[in-house]
Amino acid sequence: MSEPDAPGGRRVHVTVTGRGVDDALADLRDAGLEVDEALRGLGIVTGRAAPDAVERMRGLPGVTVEPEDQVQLPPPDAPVQ
Amino acid sequence: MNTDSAGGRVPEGPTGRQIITFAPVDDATATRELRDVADLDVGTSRGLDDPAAAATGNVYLEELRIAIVDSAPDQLGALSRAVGDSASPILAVEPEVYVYPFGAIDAPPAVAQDDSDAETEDDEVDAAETYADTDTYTWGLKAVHAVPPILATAPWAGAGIRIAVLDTGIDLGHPDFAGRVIASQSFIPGQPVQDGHSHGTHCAGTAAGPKSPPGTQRRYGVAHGSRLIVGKVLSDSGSGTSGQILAGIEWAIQQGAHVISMSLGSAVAVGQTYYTYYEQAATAALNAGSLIVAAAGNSGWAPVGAPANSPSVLAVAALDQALQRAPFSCVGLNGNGGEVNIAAPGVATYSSVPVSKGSYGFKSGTSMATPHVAGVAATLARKTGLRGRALWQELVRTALPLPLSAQEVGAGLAVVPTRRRPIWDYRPIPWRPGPIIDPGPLEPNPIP
Repeated sequence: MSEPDAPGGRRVHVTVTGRGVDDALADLRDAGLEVDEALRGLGIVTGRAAPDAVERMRGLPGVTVEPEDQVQLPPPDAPVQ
Repeated sequence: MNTDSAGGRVPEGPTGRQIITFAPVDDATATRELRDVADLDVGTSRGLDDPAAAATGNVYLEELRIAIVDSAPDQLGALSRAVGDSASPILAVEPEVYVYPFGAIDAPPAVAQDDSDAETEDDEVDAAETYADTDTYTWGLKAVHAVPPILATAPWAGAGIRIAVLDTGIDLGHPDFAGRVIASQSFIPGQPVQDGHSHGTHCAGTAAGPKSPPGTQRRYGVAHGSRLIVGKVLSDSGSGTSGQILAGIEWAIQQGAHVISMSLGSAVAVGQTYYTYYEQAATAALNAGSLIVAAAGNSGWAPVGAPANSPSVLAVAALDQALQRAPFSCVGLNGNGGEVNIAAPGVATYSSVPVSKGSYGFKSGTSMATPHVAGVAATLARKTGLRGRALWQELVRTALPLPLSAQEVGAGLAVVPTRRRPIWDYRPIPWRPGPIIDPGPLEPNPIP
């Protein structure tokens, strides 16, 4: 799973609704988000944030902060894929 | 030009950039020539690692000996003059254009079917029937009517439709996919699109494997007329993050995918809701005319996993050869998107695997059911012209009900639209005037 003690905080996805990603980006950076990628077509920003930064971002309008999720397929020869 | 794309959202005509073709010279000579002639600086191809470079920056594609550049009018003039100069390796300078597939006419359906024991009605499912692979078709293709039931034809092969498969990549050297992959991109740092796992190649094969696979007699691909967009969002060891998946979704939308097939996910607890980011991504996809189908998950009698549990992602359950829910297939225990939407074959599925792993093989899972639905969706998109939410509704509306609860299989079995063929189907002989034969003077009938 994601590393909670990694430098810069844990990996998060920030979903922006009601305004453009570019509009929200400055606010998110001010709140303490280390931006990895701004997915403008989807309205989502990926990055890292410490717990206090997550709290600050949650106070912003139209912003949802969720932890990154991990996906793991079984090995190629597993009975069920 | 073909206008299959939804609402004309794909731009047409020149992009404003120039494509420069070189004679057989080495990379250094070609790039030096560009610098000398037009003061243009090009990097070598970073297409596999950096999608932005191929789309915007000046690039030189070594394998093709082609440069794509953004040139000012005076630079264009200099380049054009070099074409006429026999000392220059520049062969041609042409404008880059936006491209998308031409509409194709689906091949006439095969007349002879080898599944004479298949169901006799194309809108009913015989619950007692058990499907099996034959030498020429997988059981899954027969179940989803990609091989039509008798008295029907399947004229829809998804021609002109683009299916994005976001998975472990694909074996780009597999002969079955020659000319079928129109775009590929890795989102796994340090790993090329080449599939080192086999999951991605298997799923891509089920969705869009060819009509006549060169290496096997058995057809296994549902939408053999469609094209593939391959995003590697899972590593060769099968792991990935939601961030890589989101980046893959955005890229697939940019590539104009009509259907996005995601045979991946993570388990979800009872009472847990969907991720907002997956839902937002799926909504953006639907708005752009891309339908996302995703595997319900293989945790058995447990909730549909993420991202299939997003309300705007079509969740796919797996069926066995008797069209019963496979025991591993997750079920709708959570509301609000956590329902199973549709079902498809996902047990003992024969499809392609990387050539290094034997070229073909069997796999089971909701991962195998998902590309069956992606292929069916492509054929429906081709037949109806519907995209996004409308395509979703049509897919669910045309699904064949199964004698199982919606909690297990949703609306039922996804099927390719087929046409009824009358029993007296024959080729009419066109009338044409024959030679006029003058019988000559007629003998009067003797009167007795």
